[in-house]
Amino acid sequence: MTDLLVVLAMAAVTYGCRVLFLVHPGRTPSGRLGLFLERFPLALFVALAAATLLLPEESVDPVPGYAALGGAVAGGLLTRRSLPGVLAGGIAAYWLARWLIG
Amino acid sequence: MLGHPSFRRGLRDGAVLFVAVGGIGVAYGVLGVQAGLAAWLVVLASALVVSGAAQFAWVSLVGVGAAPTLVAVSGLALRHIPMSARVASLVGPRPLRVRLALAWVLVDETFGLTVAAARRGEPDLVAYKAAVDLLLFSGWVAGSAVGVVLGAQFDPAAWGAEVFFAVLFVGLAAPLVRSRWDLLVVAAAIGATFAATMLPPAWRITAAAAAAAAVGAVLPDD
Repeated sequence: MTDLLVVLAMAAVTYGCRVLFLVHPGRTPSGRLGLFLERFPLALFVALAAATLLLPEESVDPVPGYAALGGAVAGGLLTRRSLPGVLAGGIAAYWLARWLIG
Repeated sequence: MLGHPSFRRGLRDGAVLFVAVGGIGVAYGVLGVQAGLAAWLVVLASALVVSGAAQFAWVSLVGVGAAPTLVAVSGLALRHIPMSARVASLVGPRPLRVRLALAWVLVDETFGLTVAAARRGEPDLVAYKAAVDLLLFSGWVAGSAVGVVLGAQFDPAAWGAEVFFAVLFVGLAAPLVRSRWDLLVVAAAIGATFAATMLPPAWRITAAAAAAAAVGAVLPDD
């Protein structure tokens, strides 16, 4: 029962944050706040990727993560930054590095 | 809706999310049952919370108590507030039921594709996001269900599930880099991610992203 309540609370907190501005349409932020929101997605995705690829847990060999990052960037450059191209490059480089390391 | 061009483009772009997020869902499902949670609850959480980060935090904190879990989840959920504001400004005035539905699967990946679609002039962002949401949601829930069935027979780390997720975020960030100023935001985000290791784990990503976006807010918009 406690676990179910935790799940419901998690859902309420998460959905509450997601719906906050959507229930107040027409309040389009401008100026510095507008620029902050404009650049937040880029900052978020880079932080999410860097946290895993550049700062792996101590028990994890960092080289495959670095290779994945390099492969992803190369894949993006070769395919005009397409998502499948980035994924293919990153995953291929990751597995190649793991295979080479053994 | 199914024949709408924007919806079809959303299905096309979201297909990769179905596979990628489905794979992460398998890892989450495996870890959930390995942590001792009921299989039905692990899958129900995927349908109700729809947040990989929050659910992985929950699974890793099983046994610690409800309060630390909710603090961690709150820290992770804060990053959805700027997303909510951005999507609200992109879709404009819409009926309340549509806006409530748009918020349900407002996650990093659907947000990234929606922003990218808006930048290339997608005519109906609601139809586009509905398709992307549908694929991510079904991939996430189905993956979670497969994971709880596989249970202890499977080691997600062995096939690099975490790296797959990270590479996906590189792919979502790539089209958002349009100027040299955006490259400075990238550098700031990497630096802030390193600096944020001083903070509790649940707050690191939100703090790093907010700091880098704050740097971006004082840079020129071109």
